[in-house]
Amino acid sequence: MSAVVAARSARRRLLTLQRRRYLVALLFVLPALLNFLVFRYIPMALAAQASLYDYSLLAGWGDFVLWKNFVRAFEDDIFRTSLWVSIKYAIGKVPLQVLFALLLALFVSREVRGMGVIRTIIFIPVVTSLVVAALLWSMMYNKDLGLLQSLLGVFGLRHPGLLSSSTWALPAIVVMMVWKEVGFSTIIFVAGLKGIPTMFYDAAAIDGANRLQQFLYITLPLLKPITLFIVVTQTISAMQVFVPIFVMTQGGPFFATNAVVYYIYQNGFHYNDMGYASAMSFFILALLVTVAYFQFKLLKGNVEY
Amino acid sequence: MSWKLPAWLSGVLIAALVIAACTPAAPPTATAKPAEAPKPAAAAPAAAPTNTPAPAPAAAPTNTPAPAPAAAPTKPAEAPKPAEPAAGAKPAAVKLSFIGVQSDDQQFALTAILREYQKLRPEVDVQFELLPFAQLFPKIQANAAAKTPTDIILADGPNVWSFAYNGVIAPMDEWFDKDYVAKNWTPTSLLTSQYRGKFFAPPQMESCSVMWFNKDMTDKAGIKPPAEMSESWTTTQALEAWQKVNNPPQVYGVRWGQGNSPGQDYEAGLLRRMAGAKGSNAYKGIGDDSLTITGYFDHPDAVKGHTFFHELYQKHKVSAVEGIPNAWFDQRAAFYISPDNAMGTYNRLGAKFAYGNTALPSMPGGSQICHTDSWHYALGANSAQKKEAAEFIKFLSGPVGSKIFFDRVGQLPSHAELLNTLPDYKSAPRKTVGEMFRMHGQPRIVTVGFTEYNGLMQEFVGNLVAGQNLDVQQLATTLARRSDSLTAKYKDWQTKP
Repeated sequence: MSAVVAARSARRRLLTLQRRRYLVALLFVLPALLNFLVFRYIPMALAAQASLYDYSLLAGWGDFVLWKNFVRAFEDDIFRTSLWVSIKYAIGKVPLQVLFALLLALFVSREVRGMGVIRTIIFIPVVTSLVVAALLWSMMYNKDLGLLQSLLGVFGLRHPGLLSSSTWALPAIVVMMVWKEVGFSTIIFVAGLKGIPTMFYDAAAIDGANRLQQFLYITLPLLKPITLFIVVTQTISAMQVFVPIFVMTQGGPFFATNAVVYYIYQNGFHYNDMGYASAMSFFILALLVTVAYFQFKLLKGNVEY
Repeated sequence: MSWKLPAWLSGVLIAALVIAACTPAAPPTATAKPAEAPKPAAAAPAAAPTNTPAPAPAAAPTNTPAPAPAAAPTKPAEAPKPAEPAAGAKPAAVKLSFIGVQSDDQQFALTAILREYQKLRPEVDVQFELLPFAQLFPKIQANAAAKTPTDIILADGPNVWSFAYNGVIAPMDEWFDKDYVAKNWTPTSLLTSQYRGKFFAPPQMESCSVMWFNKDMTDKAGIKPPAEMSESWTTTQALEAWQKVNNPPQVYGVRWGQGNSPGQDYEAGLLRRMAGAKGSNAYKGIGDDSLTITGYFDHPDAVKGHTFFHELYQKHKVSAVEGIPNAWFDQRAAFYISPDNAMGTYNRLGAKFAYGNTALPSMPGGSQICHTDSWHYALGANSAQKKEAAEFIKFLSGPVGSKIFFDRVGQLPSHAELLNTLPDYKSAPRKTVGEMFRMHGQPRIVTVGFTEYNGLMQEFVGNLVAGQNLDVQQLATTLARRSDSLTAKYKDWQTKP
């Protein structure tokens, strides 16, 4: 009997302890949760409401239009063009960034003298203001006075004017953004590489696997969760590209860089149509959730160590 | 797994979180508090205009009540800090909020005007929130949506009608009677200040573009730009001059407009209006309903103007397709289309070349025109201190405020008396600006849908500059239809309560 009482008492103490732990944990995450609630979820709820109205920031709430804004998005040629621009941008940027980040990570994860400096150099663009970087790259790309033209000029060449060309403007922005963000992905990959136990490589070496085989059959599979994280976050980030478009091309020329978030901004702030802008935002949200779901399905790693 | 933190450490962390959460946010850096303002000694010369016709009476607008007795210093023990003027020592009883555009000149001039005003009304203080141009309009929109009680809004002229239509700003007829308005500002300046018969926003300053030239370059090329308005070039003659000095990529013939982006309606929209005779659809640019631009913006005459602009970049190649920062000031362009703030920038950048200016050209078969208007002081509709704000606006836009502003910024004044008496506008180079403004100044299209139109116009101008083998007529018609579609929501603007 006394043993049963003692067990119950111990369980109660345990529960109390668990509750205390939860309470402490909750206190720690409470500021972040409040931040999310106030600055993310409440605005999202308001945006959802706005998408059902003829809403503008200046004029306030107009008529309730139900799905009109969503139907309009499907019928809007410029929205479709902008969506396609964002998709092209993501397709161009994400694989390039992942590839460069992986190569850089393989290089900088080696513990040799001076590698810390190289890692810092690779990471510097990440901490540079995106607006400043975009302005600097605009100058570098300038057809007449840019650094790129100076380099080409040595060989007697002239570039076609990257940012004023509907063919080259988007690739030029992709290159700039890969430079800007590759450092962050590199650091994540380095963390992933450091987490792979060396015994796998030792065992593979004993079995006669060469460097390439070790990379293909050990490193790459074990980096799948990291790769998944990078691909998903970078795809989401790429679909939301705005600042370089705003600074470097304003969506032009001829909609060549009119990414969807820039078009949403134009509708919300230039065309005083925040209801329609909100509807397009939810369309993008749904698209990104779907894309992320399939990326998880495709890249989900079943390799554990 | 022992993750539990020691109790004391948990306590410390939680206390730190609470303290961090309760710590007040840092004040916005753009805010100009009076204490951070230029020293009175620096502001004083600017605040005592030597050329203002009647400084003392003019400094006290007729409708401005005398300083309240309560505002007079009553407690000598609470003396001001030594560095501050005596009037500034009183705790401000009225604190006005002001949202405007950020620039060193604006901040300096506004603070200097406030100091002058505080000599009359020491109880009034102003919190300036000055933002970069690109952020100002979204901020005004966000404030309107949140019903933030901003007292004074610095509105770009073409947006005044939109703000009035949407109830973002309040009319000020109560404080600005009709005679006062008619006497103080030129009719051109008032076209955007008044909306549906009510007076909303007095102008801060005016503007009018002319053609500036690098005299060293024109002399070398043997070009003599006309000195008199009556001898102004046509665009054909101007093009010949631009081609003579054109030597890309070292020097381009002309930079058409301020900044280095393709441009906006202010300058890039001039040629399509120039292409029409005065009173024609192309010249008017917008229908009598103040909304429709189809048939005006894409009128065949207007398209001639658009085409001329396009050909500067793509056919004649006298302008840089990808903008060069400070092109004219760095001698990368021989001619420059800009208002007279070009002189201020020239001095600020320390440019070292002789320069002159001449009127904007006219198009053969068309007309001469410069776009006018600049910033306006508007009263926030949600202001809880409308009377006090309106009185300060009256001072800002009156003879004293306008003179201080001109002394600092050096841009065409909107105050009629000041403009007519300033010696600066009686001789070159500002004489050209004043004459062009009086003879050919027209505001950009005046419409409640200007924001929508201007957004599309930026896209259009970018395409005109960068596009090759363009069908300009089709491009213009597409823009006009899109603009009409976006502004159709304002069709009730003449009747909306």
